[in-house]
Amino acid sequence: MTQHPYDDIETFALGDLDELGARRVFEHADACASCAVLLSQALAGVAALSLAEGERPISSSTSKFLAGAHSTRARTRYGPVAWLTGAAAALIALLVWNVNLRTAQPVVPVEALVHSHFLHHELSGGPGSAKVLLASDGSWIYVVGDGLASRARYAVVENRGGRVVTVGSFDALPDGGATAFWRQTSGPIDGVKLVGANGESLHWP
Amino acid sequence: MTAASDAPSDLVRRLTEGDPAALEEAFRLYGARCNAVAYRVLRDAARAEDAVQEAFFTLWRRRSGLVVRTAGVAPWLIVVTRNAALETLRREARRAAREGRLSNEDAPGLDPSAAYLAEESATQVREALKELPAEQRQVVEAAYFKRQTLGQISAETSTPLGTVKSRARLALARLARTLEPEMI
Repeated sequence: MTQHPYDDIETFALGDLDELGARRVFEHADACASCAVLLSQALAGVAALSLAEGERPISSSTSKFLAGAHSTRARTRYGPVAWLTGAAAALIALLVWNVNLRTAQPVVPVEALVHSHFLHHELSGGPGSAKVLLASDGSWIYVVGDGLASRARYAVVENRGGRVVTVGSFDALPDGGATAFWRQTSGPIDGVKLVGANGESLHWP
Repeated sequence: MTAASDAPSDLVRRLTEGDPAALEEAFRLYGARCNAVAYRVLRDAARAEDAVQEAFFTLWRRRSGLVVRTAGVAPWLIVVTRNAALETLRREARRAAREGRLSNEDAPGLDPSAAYLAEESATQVREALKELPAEQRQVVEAAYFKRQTLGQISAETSTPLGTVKSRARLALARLARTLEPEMI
């Protein structure tokens, strides 16, 4: 699997990545549960913004394309280049379809897949709120904070079987938001605490 | 929006099982909304519908991926449609530049977000945006409604790109929480 594209997830969702970068993010997230969840959150945010667009009826000719789409036929109403693109896409779709048939496996419920990869924990305390996502094997930690003390530095501390381990630190943004990610040694994690410079803390459990 | 005959999770399940009727159902439910998103970017009916077709075609090809199952069909389609429309704009700008034309003259005009957000249908979005911290609101308004890149926003506001990305991430997470029930 390629490296997690954490830095590109919002860029992709907002349409700011070029075609190659977008494909890379999509292909990774389609096979990586943690990135799929993070990308899904960004997609939901953009979709929320799209409520402002309202709706716009689609012509009947466009509606008819569906009959071709799922039987891998090329789309209609295009110039020569688009026809070639469509034909290539159809060929790829056919290949993918065939591969899927050959490697057909039961669809795993996404919740089960997600929870087999990582766990969410809401932290209590304050000020503000925070959540940590932990790899199920403890190999990475992702922290998302909101309403934290503005510009304050927070240390991230884990409890590993009674042993206190400092993961690292981050600075909250002026608006109190923060995100941070670390890779680390695998192993069970029994608790996480964010400790602010002024003594404020958020913790799980 | 037309009421769904299937629960969204059922639609996803049917799609992942390769049921063509599920794609048609998704098109019936979300096609008009995707078309509005694409038209907003391209200001051209035919090209907007091309972007919508592209998105649904891609949905069919990627229906087994984790993102569709995690995000749900509507958010997935909306972002992929918008990205397809933006990519069309980029391609046209590159072509115009190669041909020595001024791409800015060919690009659809950008509406001020304030006027755009004054539409009645945008009430919920407007309210949700108001709830965001000013710095986060500035980033999503510029990125989504004015279609500025995060790099442009960083340069214009003299803010590090990483900070702009963090603000976008937090703003989208908040909007997702606020408006998620409206998505499907």
